[in-house]
Parts: sequence; C-alpha cells; structure tokens
Amino acid sequence: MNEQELITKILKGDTASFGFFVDTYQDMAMTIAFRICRNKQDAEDIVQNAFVRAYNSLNSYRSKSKFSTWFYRIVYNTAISQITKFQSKVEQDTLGKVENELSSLESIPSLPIEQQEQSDIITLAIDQLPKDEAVILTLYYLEEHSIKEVAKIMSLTESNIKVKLHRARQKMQESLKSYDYGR
Amino acid sequence: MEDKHLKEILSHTQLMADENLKHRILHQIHTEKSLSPMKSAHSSTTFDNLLFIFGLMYAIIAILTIFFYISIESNPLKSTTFITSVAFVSSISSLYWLLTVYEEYRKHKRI
Repeated sequence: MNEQELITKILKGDTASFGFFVDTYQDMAMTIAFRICRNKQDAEDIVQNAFVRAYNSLNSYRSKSKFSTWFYRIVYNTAISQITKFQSKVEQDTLGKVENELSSLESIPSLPIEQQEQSDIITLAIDQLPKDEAVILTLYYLEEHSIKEVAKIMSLTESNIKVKLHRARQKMQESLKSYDYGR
Repeated sequence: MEDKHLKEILSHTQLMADENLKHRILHQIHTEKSLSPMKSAHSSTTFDNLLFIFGLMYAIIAILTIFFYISIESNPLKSTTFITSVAFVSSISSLYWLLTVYEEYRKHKRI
C-alpha cells in the first residue's frame, strides 16, 4: 500500500495506519529537530507535536509534493516556533553539556571506540554550524532532498539554500580539520 | 570535501527516536480524536438550547401581541401591561438561557 492510499485510509478514520508514517519519518524528524534545538528531550517534544499537527492537517496535504517534504516542513516550523520557548535554556548550554548529550544519543551504539570518537567529532562540528545550515546539510546529504525541496521545507529561495549549503560545507571542512578528523 | 565523503560522515550523526515515542504520538492522537466529538456535541447542545429558549420566547411574545391587539383593539405598544409582560418574558428567557449556558460550561469543564 503506498503513502497516498494510507493517507486516504487515515482520513476515513483509520488512526492506526498513521503508525506507518511515524515509523518511517520519526528518526529523520528527530535529527532535524535536534539540529535546531540541540536537546534530545526538546527534540522529542517537537517531533511529537509535529506528528500531531501533521495528523490534524492531513486533509490539507496535496500529493503534488512528497509526503516527506510536506512533513519536514511541519517539523521545521514546529521546531522554529518552539525554540523561542526553549531559547533561554539552550543559551545556557555549554559545549560540555552538548558533549554529555552526545554520549547519551543512541544513534550509533555499537561502534568501536575509535569510530565513536570520530562520530562525536562530526556531531560537534555540525553543532558548531548555524542551525539553518546544519538542517540544510542534514536534508541535502542524509535525506537526499533536492535544493528545490530543501528550499520548500525551509521557506527560503533556492539560491539562498545553495549559498548556505556552500558555506556549511566549507565550515564543516574547517571544523573537521581543526579536530584532526581522520588522522 | 567530496559530496560522497560528506554524505558518508553525516550518516553517522542520524538520531534514532526512542522506542516509546511512537506510542506517545499515537496515544495523543487517539486522545485528541476521542475528545473532539464531545466538543462538537457540546457546541451543538448550546446552539439547540439557544434556538429552543428564544424560539419559545418569541412565540409567547407573538401570542401576547395578538391577544393584546384583539382585546384592546389598538396598538399594543401603547399598553403598559403589554410592555411589562414582554419585558418579563424576555428577562425570564434570557436568565434561563444564561443558566443553561453556565451549566453546559460546568459540565464541559468537568470532562
């Protein structure tokens, strides 16, 4: 059963079918929300709210765009609107706290120590990027969305996304060099 | 830095949602869904009461107008008794409607 058929089922009242969308998109939604708020607990709240908002406005989804594009736009907007509430909390976060947070993440539990260290370095490098650039990198490289789709999700122009993507790549490269990544 | 290399190193940073997150999301959706028919029932009851009470009020006022028109054979608006009766009926109806709305509000708040 494809996504459009599932959406039709959900709109007819089959709430359980929404579980498929939660299973499919919750990890990436968590990643996007975490890039913005940089706190796992807040990211979970954002993702939960985003899914509920998506469910409630499912009838406004038009199959012209991909479901993921439509849904990540909701996640991004929810995160941006909620971050003002968390702002004071986030500003108090020190780099040390971010490092603690990294160690508690379950993204790569079974990696060897060396690989774990490298992974922490990459995450630290991403955390040093501005939030929007971190989200652009995630959507473009991890989720393989096109520039056009990323622009749609973040309500920015395509040229703006291209500039930010170029800048993010450069900053990422410099950060990784400063951490002696890969040596 | 090559795109392929960047994609590979970024793949290590994807987060995994907690196992109970899905349960939390579906639970919230179910709760909100089960509450929404109550909301609509609540608003329809209030609207039904409004129609019934004020419908009855206007019907009584119409009967009074006809009665006064026939009995005094002139403009009922000139009769103090008519004005008093209409004021009495409308104030009782308004008070009754106010009480009904308050009672509905209390019931809804308890839910």
